[in-house]
Amino acid sequence: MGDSNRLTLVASDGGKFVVDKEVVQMSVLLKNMIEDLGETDESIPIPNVTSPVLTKVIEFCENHRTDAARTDGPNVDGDDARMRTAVVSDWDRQFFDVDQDLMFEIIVAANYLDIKSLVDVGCKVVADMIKGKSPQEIRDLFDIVNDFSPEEEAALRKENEWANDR
Amino acid sequence: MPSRPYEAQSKKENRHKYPRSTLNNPRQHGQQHGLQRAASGTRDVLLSIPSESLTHVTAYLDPPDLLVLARTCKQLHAHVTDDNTWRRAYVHQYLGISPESDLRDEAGDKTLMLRREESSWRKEFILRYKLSRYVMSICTSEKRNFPWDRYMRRRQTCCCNEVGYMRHASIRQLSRTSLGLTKPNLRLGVLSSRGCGVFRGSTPLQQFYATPVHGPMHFITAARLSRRS
Repeated sequence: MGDSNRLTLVASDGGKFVVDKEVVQMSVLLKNMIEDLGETDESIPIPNVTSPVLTKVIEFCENHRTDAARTDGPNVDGDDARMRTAVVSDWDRQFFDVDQDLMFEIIVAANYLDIKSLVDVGCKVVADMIKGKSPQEIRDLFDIVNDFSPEEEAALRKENEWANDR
Repeated sequence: MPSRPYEAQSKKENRHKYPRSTLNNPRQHGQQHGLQRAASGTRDVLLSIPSESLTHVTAYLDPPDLLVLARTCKQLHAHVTDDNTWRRAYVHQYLGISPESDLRDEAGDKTLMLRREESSWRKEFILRYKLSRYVMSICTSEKRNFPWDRYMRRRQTCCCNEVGYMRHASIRQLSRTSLGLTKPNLRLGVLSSRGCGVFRGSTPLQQFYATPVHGPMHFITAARLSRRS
């Protein structure tokens, strides 16, 4: 690797990815790592992330490299604090239009690599999936096993009654 | 000063989130990063993410969605029962504090001033949520006559809203100073969650309609106001 602007990342299964340094900087973890290493030609192993996931993560970072500066000062005078209206962009929605396993692996990887914007978008997408559903719909969606007894369920339903009449 | 709940919260913040559930569910902590669900044989991907990510997800949810989530299974019930989940969602949605930021420092002071009326973040969030929905329903209705009396009766104390005051106070470095319902403060119009000040106007109703409807609207009560309507 002669090019000092590019870095090689190695996924847990050995897959190699050559990426612009600028793109890598979006990960706080890698950014700190690069600063500690200084100028080096060595590739950086990412032991917790597999190739398919890393491909997606890099895709996201490549796409969002330009808006890093824009989103740098979040909510400083963010008057409209109500983030609930914050919309996920079309590109981001498309990006997360993958099977659930991969989606959650991306979130976990983003969390590990400390890529704030990716974690934010991922969590928002998951939250959007949950919104407005019934307990059973959520269970079906995420394959959650209902481990409540019928009595417990009835008690919970009663407890949360006000929420039902929306 | 409602400092007790804050201190209790900040201590809680430092601990890991599910001390109990680790006993029943070693997966929760055993795999902070990377999914190894195949080994456990279950399919519940939502539960396989680290608890802080789950908190991040739930920070985008409204009280009804949180309560529905609590009814899906025991582990999610435990998550929603944790008051920290509500606190995070509440401060995220009303103050724009990121679910991952540290609540102990400056942000902690802010949130301290936010919770005034109820004994838990859960109750506080639900109260505000209901109120804002109530106000919104009035905003969007065709009624030209704002039912001040009814609103004031419904929640006298909440009319003096800490969100507005808190913003006002934090900008002026007056944190922890509470503005009471004193006479000068009572002669006011409408305070919105977006503004840091108080809108004085000859017709509060116009002020009310003129204020952008982005977040919940907050009011400061006034005997004069209710008479006017």
